[in-house]
Amino acid sequence: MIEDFNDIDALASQRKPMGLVALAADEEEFLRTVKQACERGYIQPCIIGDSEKLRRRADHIEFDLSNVAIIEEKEPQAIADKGIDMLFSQDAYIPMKGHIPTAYVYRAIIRKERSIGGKDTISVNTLWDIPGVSHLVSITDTGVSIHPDYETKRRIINDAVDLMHILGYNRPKVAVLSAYNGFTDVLDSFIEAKRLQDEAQRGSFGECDLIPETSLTDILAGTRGAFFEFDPAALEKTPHVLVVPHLDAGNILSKLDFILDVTRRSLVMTSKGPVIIPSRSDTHKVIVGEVALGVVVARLLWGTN
Amino acid sequence: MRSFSSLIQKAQKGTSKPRMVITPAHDVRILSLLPEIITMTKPVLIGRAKQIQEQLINCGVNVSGFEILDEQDESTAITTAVELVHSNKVEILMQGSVDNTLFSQMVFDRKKGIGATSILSHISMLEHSKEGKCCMITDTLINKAPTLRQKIAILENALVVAKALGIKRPKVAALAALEYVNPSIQSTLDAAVLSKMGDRHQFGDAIVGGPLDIDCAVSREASKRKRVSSKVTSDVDIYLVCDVESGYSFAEFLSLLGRMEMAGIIVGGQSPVIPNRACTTRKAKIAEVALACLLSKGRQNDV
Repeated sequence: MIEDFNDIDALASQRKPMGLVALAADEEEFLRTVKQACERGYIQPCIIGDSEKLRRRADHIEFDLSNVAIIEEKEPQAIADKGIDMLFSQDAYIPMKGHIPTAYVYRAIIRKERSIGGKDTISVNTLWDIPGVSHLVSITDTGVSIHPDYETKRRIINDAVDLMHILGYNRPKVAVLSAYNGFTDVLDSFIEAKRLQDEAQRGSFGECDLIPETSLTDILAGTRGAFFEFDPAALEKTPHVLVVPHLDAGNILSKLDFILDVTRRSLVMTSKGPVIIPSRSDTHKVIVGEVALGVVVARLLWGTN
Repeated sequence: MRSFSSLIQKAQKGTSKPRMVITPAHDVRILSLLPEIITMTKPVLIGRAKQIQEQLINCGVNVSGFEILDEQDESTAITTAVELVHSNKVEILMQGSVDNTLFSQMVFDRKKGIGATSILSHISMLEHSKEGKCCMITDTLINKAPTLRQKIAILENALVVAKALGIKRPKVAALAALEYVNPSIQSTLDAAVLSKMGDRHQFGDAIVGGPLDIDCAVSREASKRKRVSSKVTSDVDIYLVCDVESGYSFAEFLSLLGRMEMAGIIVGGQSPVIPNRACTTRKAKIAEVALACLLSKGRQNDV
């Protein structure tokens, strides 16, 4: 079982580098990411983008591109399509979004999934390494579905559970979050959480447990019987997967690493493997960690050396 | 406001003590706070009188010093408390040991409750020790999916609190999932409107930035990477969230994973209301009373 990002980083460099295709890495932070991930032995890169721009940037950061395959393409959707094709073909490349809008990459993935009769929806899992918690925690969906309905939430849970299985958690605990606590009318998120829990009891989500609690407060703090006191040991009760009600909440929660002492790495799981989707505000230090995660997940999934 | 301690000190310095009704008050946890509460307010206790008296004795509190109204039934206890607010006999209402649904249905009732003509909203105030300041998140409890009009009222409620705390030019981050306007995402549209209203001084001296995603609200570096320039970045006093789902989880994550003290208060009605939330520390509960004191009618005139 992979307990934290130190495990990920160690595993990422242990075997031979994996193919990574960077989608428009002609911006400094993305190119620095590729450079550093190469130096650490994580990847053998290919870059799709504007080769002239790319070479200028590479000179600026002193990155020797002689061992980097470059595919010339300037149009963002074509860049995304080519990169995702490389994942879905037998090339076994991990795509990493660079300096293009995320929507192009999502569109390319969904088109490809449909063409092979794969997934109807995709979701972003944002993994957190929380000090004091001996397992990784996924917050999902933090990037795709604006207001996921019941069916979409089912797929989001399946995606997250699959990812946690890949990372070695045989029976992850899943909490479907809701803000309902009696001060509002019953929220849809709460009704859905209860339905999903019932469905989980019937085994619909395979090897996982949907816990009855629907908020971190319920999970970590319990009831109102006494004044709350912080207990660091209680953090261990944080479930492996936290399913957020919608994108607005997911976006806030997943990026609380800007305030909290946690580390964040995100990816999208397709039928064929991971796609790395860094936030536009991430620096190369963060993105290199996401590459390590992608490499380890792909290796565990594909069983490659 | 830098800390809950300074908030409590400020409330204790007031020349007058507002009257606060606790209903139902037969709750040993809340009664144990009375020695601190009476430094800021004059409490009125409603509930099972005999039980309250026994609990006060167990807490080592002098029973004779308190006004106790005997009500055996929880609903009647809440009704009596609301009537005291209506008749201006108390200025603060605190939820005691009663189910949230029953309490909120009676207190927020559009005809008989305390907010018949206004939008009530809940503010979570967090003590961010690393930053050395307190910040507010709203609405974190009541409004399911507020419209733009309701968001305006929620922000105005929060600005009243900011004023009571002595914040002269509060900085507001109108949060959304993206830092740019996307016509498919309502939160980005609403935040953009609120920001423009702020530019036109429709919120007084408040500075409103939006739409901002959380990274652009809290980090200058992230904001620079995304080429977003906002005066509120990394110095936010009020986070205005798009709905209760976002607000509630945002606040609880900061409180529980960030170990930040969190106080909550309901504002916008005839009196401030202190809800009985789970996960409240003793210090936070006293801070809630202090906050309510600063917001009470008598004290508002002092600001």
